[in-house]
Amino acid sequence: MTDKIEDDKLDERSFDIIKEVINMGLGEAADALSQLVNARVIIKVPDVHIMDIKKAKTYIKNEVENLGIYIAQDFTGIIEGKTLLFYTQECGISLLNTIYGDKKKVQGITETGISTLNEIGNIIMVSYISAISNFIDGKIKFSIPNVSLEVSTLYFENLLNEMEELDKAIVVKNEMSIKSENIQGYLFVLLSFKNFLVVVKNLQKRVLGK
Amino acid sequence: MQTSLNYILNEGLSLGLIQIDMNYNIVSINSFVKRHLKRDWKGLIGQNIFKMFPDICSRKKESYIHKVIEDGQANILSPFIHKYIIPFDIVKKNIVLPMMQETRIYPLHEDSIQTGALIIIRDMTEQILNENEIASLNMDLNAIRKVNQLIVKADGREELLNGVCSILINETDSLLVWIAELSDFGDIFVPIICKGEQSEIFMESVSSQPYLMPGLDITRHVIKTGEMAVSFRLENDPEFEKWWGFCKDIACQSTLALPVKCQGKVEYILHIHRHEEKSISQEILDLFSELANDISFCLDQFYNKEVRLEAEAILRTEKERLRITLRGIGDGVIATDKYGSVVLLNKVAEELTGWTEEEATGRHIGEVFHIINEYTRKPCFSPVQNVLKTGSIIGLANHTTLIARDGVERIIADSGAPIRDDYGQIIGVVLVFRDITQQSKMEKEMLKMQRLESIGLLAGGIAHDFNNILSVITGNISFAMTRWPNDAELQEVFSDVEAATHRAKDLTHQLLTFAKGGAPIKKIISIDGIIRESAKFVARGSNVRIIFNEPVDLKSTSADQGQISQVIQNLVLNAVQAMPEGGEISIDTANIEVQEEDGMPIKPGSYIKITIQDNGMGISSKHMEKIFDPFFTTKQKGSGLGLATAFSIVKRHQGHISVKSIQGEVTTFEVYLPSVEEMASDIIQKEINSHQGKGKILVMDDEEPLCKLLDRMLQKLGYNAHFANNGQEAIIKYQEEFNRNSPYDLVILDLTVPGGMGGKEAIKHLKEIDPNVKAVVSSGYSNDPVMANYLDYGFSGVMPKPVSMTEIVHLLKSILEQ
Repeated sequence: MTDKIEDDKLDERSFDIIKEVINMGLGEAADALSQLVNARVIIKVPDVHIMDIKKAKTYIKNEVENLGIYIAQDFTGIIEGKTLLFYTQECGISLLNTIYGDKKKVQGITETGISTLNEIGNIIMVSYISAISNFIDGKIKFSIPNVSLEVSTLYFENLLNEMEELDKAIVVKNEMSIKSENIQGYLFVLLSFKNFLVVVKNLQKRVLGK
Repeated sequence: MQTSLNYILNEGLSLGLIQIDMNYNIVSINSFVKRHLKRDWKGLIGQNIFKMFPDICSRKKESYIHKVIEDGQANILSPFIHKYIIPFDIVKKNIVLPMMQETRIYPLHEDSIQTGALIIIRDMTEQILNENEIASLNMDLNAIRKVNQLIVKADGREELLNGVCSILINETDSLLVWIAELSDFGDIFVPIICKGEQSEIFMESVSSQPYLMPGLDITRHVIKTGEMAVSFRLENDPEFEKWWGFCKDIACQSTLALPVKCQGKVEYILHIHRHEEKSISQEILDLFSELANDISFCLDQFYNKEVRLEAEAILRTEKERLRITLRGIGDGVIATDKYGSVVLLNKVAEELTGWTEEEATGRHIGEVFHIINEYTRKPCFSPVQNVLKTGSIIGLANHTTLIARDGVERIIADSGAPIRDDYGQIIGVVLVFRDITQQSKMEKEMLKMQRLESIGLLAGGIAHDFNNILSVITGNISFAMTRWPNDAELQEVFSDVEAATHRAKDLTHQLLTFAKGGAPIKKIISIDGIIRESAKFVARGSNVRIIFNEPVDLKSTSADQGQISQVIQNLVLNAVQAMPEGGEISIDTANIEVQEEDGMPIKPGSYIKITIQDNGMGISSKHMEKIFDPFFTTKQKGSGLGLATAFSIVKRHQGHISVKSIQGEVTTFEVYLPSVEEMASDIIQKEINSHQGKGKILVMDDEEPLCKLLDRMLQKLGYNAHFANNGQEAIIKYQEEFNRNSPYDLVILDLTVPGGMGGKEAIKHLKEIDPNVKAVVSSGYSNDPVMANYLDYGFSGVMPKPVSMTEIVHLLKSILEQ
């Protein structure tokens, strides 16, 4: 077995394990958010992909026309890597208006809105990593989240370039709704790991006892 | 490096930094935190953060710090969701506000071992206030936009005011919106619309306080000043103290009351209850003020629309009333604009011009109202132009003829007047005209009759004097003839003179008949037979064919049979003479009813109309006026008295005669005689059957057949008849019977007895014998003055020849039963 796993070589069972872990993470995220906004929050995951970082760049470009807000965070410990969460503009505005209610509808993303989206994004991102972390029974330390309103495509591409040193990434497409209202657009969480094989092995070991 | 970094972190950041250890004790704080503390910062160091800031736990925010310390997981707390973590106050314009914070809590590590956490506080109060204000402004702007959309499409006040309240409640940060309506006198206002979750509570307050006036002092303030009023509950402003007492159950912190005006006068007061406790930005107040102005503008539009609709309705009603009035009046009315184009045409005008209003509208007046001079046939000057030029009321010249669309000509009387607007400017012309054709015709008839009457009087006077002169001439000629009986030449001269004087005497007799004599001896007769016989008599020997057309139910008339016969003879003779080459004469009779509006110079009622029409040479228009004048004739041998006499006779029968002619084609005479309901034949039979007399009657007549006829008639009626051949014999017989003291009850004297004494002479002698003698003059010459004026000659009655049984009965009854 090489140090790296190709897409087609990741067995189905391992993929299922990852998806299951992700689902657990989003469950925790939904619970945390429901408490936070004092309303029922539902997060659906229509797509989970495991791909090379390079391919992830293309995938994101194809999926998203305009980037909105993103939050990046490094983590270290038994597994190391970088998470990246970003909202599309539509999703960000829609999410904020759902939380704010009818009385304070916004047309754009303000400073307060960025702050709110960051808090939500941080909860989701941390929930996913914590779910993985819990499974592999290893302590993970989080760096300071890097939060920014996307102003330059170049800036975002450079950020993605920084991730090229990493191995594989789990790209999660999330669809969130609050108070049963549909939210336009999606938020994406990209979990990239320095050594994806370690993650997979740890997960297999924990789940399958191998 | 470390020292300067610490200094920067401590003094140079506009962020609050609080460092805690793993036991949640505060390790350090920077200057930002120190300056926002309400207490001495020194007491904080080394103290448990939750104890120093118990607000964290009371607001259940401690878990976010716990997670960082226990899980090493960084946290971001947004101000919108959490408001703040560390309670700091911000004082803005004496208003104390809690600092809105974005808080980030990061784990702190030293040699990969977590030593605590750093709480970074970013003051976002100003940002949030600005964002809220912008959001609020955006909402209010959006509401104004929607109100403006409503203003454009709202149909009425109710829709507008209801819509405004709904928009303000749904689209702005308002808690309760209601509108009070001000009474016409401006002293009472009543809430009419209320929207919002608290509307029921509010309306309950309203209904439970019938005397609202003192309580709604904010409303009164707006009415009084006409300006917006703003009040905050916390301000405790004594001016609006009662207002907040009234609103004690309404969960709001501030109230805006805005005047909504119509035509500059406050009609409604819009009340907006808000949550702002201490201030509302000027921008928002300006927006609401603008909103009230927009609603006021819309009310003005409604008012203008209402006024316009009302004016239009009044105008429509007036127009309809005018239209009905104009259509109802008897005169023709045409109105034009100032360019002479027709804008209105009433019903009579439609009839007289032949144009419908629809057809005429927009056409030039000259096209519709075509007028010419009756005599010159030249177009008249346009009355519309005349009015527009002079600006005054004008009347049409006399003898104006209106030519209708179908060519029918009518004589009209007209006037034109300018139509002026409120500023006195002429905006059109109204023409009022009436058909006076009949009136004109009647006037002409009256003039003609007056003229004929005058001529008759003149002719009668002349004839009377002339008759006297002729009597002198005749008497002296007779004397002269006896003076020189043997001078044959002289006798011949005298005879010629005598013959000429006789002809002159006949003429004067005719003239006298036309002028004043010949009063009709009326009786009820059927004239169809008279017409036939008279017409045939005249046409005999000519090559003219007469076609009679008479109804079977032709009524009878009360007329002098002889005179009517003369009228028919004169008219038919005229027709025959008009057709020297021969032709046809049609004589139609009909029962007709003459109405007032027919404009005929006779009384309305039932008439027999006799129409005699020939297809001869016709009568020229220049002769038409004179045709009934005496001595007017176009014939070389005519006396000119035929038609004049016919006219005179018909007039004396309360009838009318008129003539129409198309030269070279046709001439039509129309004779109207009053008809009676009773049938002549019925009367005859009735009278004959009912009359049974007695007594003796002397009949003087030289014609034996007539004497025999009278003998049979009188015997049938119960009388004893005696006869005499002339006047002398009659006098002798009367004298004998008178001497025997049994005078005749009645004497019938023939007016003329060839070679003997006639009735006129005989009556004089009979009167000498018996002043009470009852005598009747009999003659075939009904136009003889003695016959017409028999009373003047001493007769009691007159018996025209030929005589009928009815006439005898009638005569005997009228004389003997007196």
